[in-house]
Amino acid sequence: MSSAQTLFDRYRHELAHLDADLPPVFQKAVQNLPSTLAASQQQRWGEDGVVLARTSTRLAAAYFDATAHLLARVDPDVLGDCKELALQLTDRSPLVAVAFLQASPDFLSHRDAAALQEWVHQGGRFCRGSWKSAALAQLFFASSATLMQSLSANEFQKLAAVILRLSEHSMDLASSCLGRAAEVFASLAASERLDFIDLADQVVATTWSDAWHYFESGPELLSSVVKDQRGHFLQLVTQISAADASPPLPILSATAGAIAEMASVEHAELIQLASRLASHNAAAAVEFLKSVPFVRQRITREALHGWLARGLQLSVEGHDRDAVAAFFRIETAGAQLLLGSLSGRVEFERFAGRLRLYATALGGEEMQLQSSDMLAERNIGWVTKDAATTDGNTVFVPASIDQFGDQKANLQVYKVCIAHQTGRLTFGSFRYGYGQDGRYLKSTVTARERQLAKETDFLHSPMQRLFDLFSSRRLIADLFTIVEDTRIDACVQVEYKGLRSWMLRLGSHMASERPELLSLGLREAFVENLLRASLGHRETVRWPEEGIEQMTQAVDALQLMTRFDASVADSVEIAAWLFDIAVALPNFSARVLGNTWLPLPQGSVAGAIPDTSPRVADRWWFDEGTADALQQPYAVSSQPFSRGSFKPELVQALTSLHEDRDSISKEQLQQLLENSEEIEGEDVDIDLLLDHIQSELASSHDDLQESDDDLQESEDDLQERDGDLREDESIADDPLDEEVAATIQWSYYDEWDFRANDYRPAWCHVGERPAGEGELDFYTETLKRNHGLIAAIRRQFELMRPETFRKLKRLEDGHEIELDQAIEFHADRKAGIGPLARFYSRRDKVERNVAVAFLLDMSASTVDEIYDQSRMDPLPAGKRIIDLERESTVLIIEALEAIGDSYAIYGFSGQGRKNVVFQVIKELDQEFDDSVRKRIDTIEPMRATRMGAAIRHAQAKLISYPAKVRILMLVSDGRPQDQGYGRDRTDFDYAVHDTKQALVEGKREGIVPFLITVDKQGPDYLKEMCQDISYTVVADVASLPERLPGIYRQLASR
Amino acid sequence: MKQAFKQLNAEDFRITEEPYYLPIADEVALFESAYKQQLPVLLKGPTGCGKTRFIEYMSWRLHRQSGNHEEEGVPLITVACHEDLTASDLVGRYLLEGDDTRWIDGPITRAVKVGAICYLDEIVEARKDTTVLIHPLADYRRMLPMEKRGELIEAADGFLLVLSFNPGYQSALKDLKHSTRQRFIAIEFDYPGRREETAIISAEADCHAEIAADLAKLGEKVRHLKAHGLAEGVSTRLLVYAGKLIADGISPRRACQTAIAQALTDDLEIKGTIEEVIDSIFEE
Repeated sequence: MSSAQTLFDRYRHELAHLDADLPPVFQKAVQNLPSTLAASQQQRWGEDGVVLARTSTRLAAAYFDATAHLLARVDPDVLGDCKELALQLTDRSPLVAVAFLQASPDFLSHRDAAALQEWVHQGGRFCRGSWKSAALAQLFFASSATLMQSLSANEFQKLAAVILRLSEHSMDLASSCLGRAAEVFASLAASERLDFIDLADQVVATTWSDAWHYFESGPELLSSVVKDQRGHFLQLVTQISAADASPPLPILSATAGAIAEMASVEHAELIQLASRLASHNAAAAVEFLKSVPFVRQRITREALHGWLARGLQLSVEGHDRDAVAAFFRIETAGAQLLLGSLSGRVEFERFAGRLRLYATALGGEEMQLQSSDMLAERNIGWVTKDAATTDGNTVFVPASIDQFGDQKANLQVYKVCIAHQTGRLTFGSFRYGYGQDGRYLKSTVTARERQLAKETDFLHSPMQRLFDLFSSRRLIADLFTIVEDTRIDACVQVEYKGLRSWMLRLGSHMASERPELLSLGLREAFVENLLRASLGHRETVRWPEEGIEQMTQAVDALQLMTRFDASVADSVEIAAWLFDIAVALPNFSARVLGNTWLPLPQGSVAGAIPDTSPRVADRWWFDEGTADALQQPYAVSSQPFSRGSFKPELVQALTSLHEDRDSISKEQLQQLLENSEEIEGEDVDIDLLLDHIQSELASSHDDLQESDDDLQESEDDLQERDGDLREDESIADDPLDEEVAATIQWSYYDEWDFRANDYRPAWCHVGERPAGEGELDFYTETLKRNHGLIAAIRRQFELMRPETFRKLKRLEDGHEIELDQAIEFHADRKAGIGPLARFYSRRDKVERNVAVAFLLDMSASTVDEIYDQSRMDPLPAGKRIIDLERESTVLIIEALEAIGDSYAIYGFSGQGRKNVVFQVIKELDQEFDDSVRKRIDTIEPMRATRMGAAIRHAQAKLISYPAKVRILMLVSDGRPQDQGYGRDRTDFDYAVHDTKQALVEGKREGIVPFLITVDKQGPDYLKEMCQDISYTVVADVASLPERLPGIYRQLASR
Repeated sequence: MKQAFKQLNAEDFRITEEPYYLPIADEVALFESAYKQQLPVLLKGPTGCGKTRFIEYMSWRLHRQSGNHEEEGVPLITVACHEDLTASDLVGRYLLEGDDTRWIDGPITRAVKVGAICYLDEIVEARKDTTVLIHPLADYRRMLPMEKRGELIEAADGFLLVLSFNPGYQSALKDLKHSTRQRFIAIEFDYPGRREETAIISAEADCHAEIAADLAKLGEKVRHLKAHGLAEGVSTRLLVYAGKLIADGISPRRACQTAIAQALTDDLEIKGTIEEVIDSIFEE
């Protein structure tokens, strides 16, 4: 009998007694025991098994199963240790002990036996009595081995600690994370793992609920950072989060997203810079990284250091932490200014006001200026990229210019672009009449028509008819563009001599960026040469020796266009003549030709009238058969940036449409667009362009309005960059019908960020619109109900009038003699002193010159019903605050009509900074009539209270109104409040400070501000908000209508 | 040689030398006809477009036609109206002299008596009672009532009342009453076209023709900004000033900045734009 059989027989009965399934397992284990095991060891093993089986049969089974694997890795003594450890674990949960035994062989293949104790200890700590905790512990043992494939002992231990900590919050989350961990760490490089665990620890410490997201999305976020920097990046995020105890996951995703936008070579530097900043101000470091992609588009890598240094300096100088963060968010005017000074790039929006005025000055009052990016974005085929162009009414310029390193020069480039585009309009690029003779050249269109032996379509615009004469529209359009642009540039240089030096500089810059001649086809090279000459760089023209005479003639002909009095018809003739030369040239690759390319000889007299009679050019290239085989299609030459894109055909069509909408039918227009070479871009939907043209025509009277909207849109783009304050913003759908929407006039106001101690430029968008009209009933009923009160108020106000008669003294002539002065005069005269005979006085009626604007809070809270405090029951018919505001309005209007002061009534509300609603019930210069009465009826509660913006708008209106005394009366029911009007919903300080700042601004302009609030909590914040501004709290809301006229009377007679 | 100090009675002021005036349209013929038929004239137009110069020119020119060669020119009495200008400022007043009083004729009385052109500049600025005073003078009656003296004066033959008025200027607040307006024929003035303005600047400022052309061009461009923030376009007068500065050796850009950009507005953005336009037209 083998020893194995003996061993089996010894324990089988007892085991079978415990569980009938055990003996087979035991038998299998016995058979697999290595022969090297001593009998005593075998015996001990068997006994251990029985001991375990007595505790739990599954435990024993696991023990037997694991035996062979264990013995393959460790010496037999360890078996006993395992049994002991399993028994320890069984106290907590037999299932966990089973899991331990099952996982132990794999564990021991990664670690030595000494680590067992610690491992079991770790696993045991997960067990806290619940089945969920037991399950977690099981998972821990089960996944340990896999994790150890990628983690060091230390890392493994740390991870276990993190999971344990997480399990204190949520067992489920801990299990999910642990389950995911193996895959996560397998995907990370060795150098990143510890940092990843450290950050995980930080996540659990701050926002444990993010842990799963961290494990889920962390590796992917990390992958956007260049490989060797990922560890540093994780350390940075940990550092930032630890400094402010802020949630790491949002930081990670925001900063990783920003870094992903940057070139990988810059990652190391950015992370280093950010961590330098983080040691001073962690929040600022986040903002810095988030702003970097935006900033780096504008400034160089070196300048970025300067930018950071300025921010660090702010930090060192002891500026508020929020202020520094705002600096890096580029929300402060200071930051924008600095950015501007570090960057050479000029943004259209920043100088839009100035540039628009400039275009108006150059092009006339009707001239509109817009940025071309919106045209390009619409992909209607007008322009594909940001290029200057004009549609005959509006000049479009690129949204930003970065041709030269410094801002001043780039601003000049804008001016050159505007001058060139307005030049097309003022110097008549679009005023070509078909068959018109030029100033120097006779028209050849009839000869060409004869040649073609066909009549061109009379219905078409002159330009379209002209282009129809040529076998290649593309080629003639290109040539005409070059010739006409040469003429316009010349005209502009004569007209605006001050721009000449900039045009030359820009021309050289453009010429230096032209494509290599040899890379082009021969015909393209011909056109390219003309363009170079047109840019004023004749010396860069190169042409095969055999054809040099022809090229010289062509370039010299172009020179005619530099004469100031040359006309567009001359351009047409030159272009047509050049076409004849160009079209005969084969367009095979210039390289193939292999001729010697020479510069042009010194030119003939510039601007001499060229001989443009048709001629047959010498065929100086090799034989035609070869040439045909090598022909490539003619590609349009790229126009230099300074000249932008030229669309004579479209503009002529548009202009005639503007003049007479029926001049071109939709079908004709469509045909024109389809045939025109002026449509840019691939896959352009002609219908889109058609729609665009039609809508432009329909709304041509609203041009101004539209451009304002566009301005707003582009501003949005500029500021569409995340910031804490803006997170929850959204413009709610305004339930306004289109008619009203069309009458909204947008204005933009800065907002005061007291933490940054700086303005946020053009932050609030205030939409002014007339209030809707309701019924007259409310007004008349209020009058009736308050009949007595109104009579009293009117009397009081009428009494104010006599105060306005002022006595003028010491006059040479007047109604009364001032006795004192008359006596004095006589005495002086007797004494021989020659005083002036000024002893008359006169009572002069000085007209009251008071303008007052009432600004009513129409926030949602004004819907509250009011209780009469003395009676403790609601006012009749559930009166709301807004009703009392309306009533007060009626009373004050009656009073003001009595005294004759100019007054305006405005209401405000809105939602978010981009939609501050400003309703006009009555304008300052508007007559009081029924429409005003009806509008009062529509004063209704709306949404939020962005007080600062509304105050600024009302003040701007007051300032522009001619009056000696200007008063702003703000009637509100509570503190200023709006989405994003503060860091979060509980941050009232921001709103209060902004409102205060708005009032102070008005005061500086000579406006007398006065606040009336019905909020009993008013005194709390009003003290802060109105330090030296008068206010009153009308505690008894119901008395507001009576009080308001009295308050005004005191204010206005001061 | 510096011109010496000279004192004249108001009614003795005559234009003896031909003032420079470039007729733009038919205003000269219109005015002559009005003068001949004693129709009061209202000159409408923006500031600095040549209204005053026109009236000086006409005063000089009309005299030549009258055939009186002893004295040059029809006398021209100009009153710059201001908001404190009262009726007695125009008609006259009593002054104390010793224990007596002495009557002093006001400018309008003098003009009525000597048959001068009485030019009330910027009439809307004057107090309302003055405009009423001129009503009997400005219709067929041609009478000046002198309330304080209880007299009526019938105007001498050569007398003509001419008002000037700038319609765009503060039009919302101050406008001419219709009862006043409708007593005058109105000649409208505007800034001259580029070609004419070039000639005017060149003659007045005595500067190079090219500079004059550039200034006229600048004038045209700057006037485009009217209604875009500029209350008034740049006047020919200012362009002439700039021309004079340039003729004296000031650099064109600097001269235009001082005489035009700074003179026109304090609004930074518009001033900046005007300077950009100046820089675009004039070379450094």
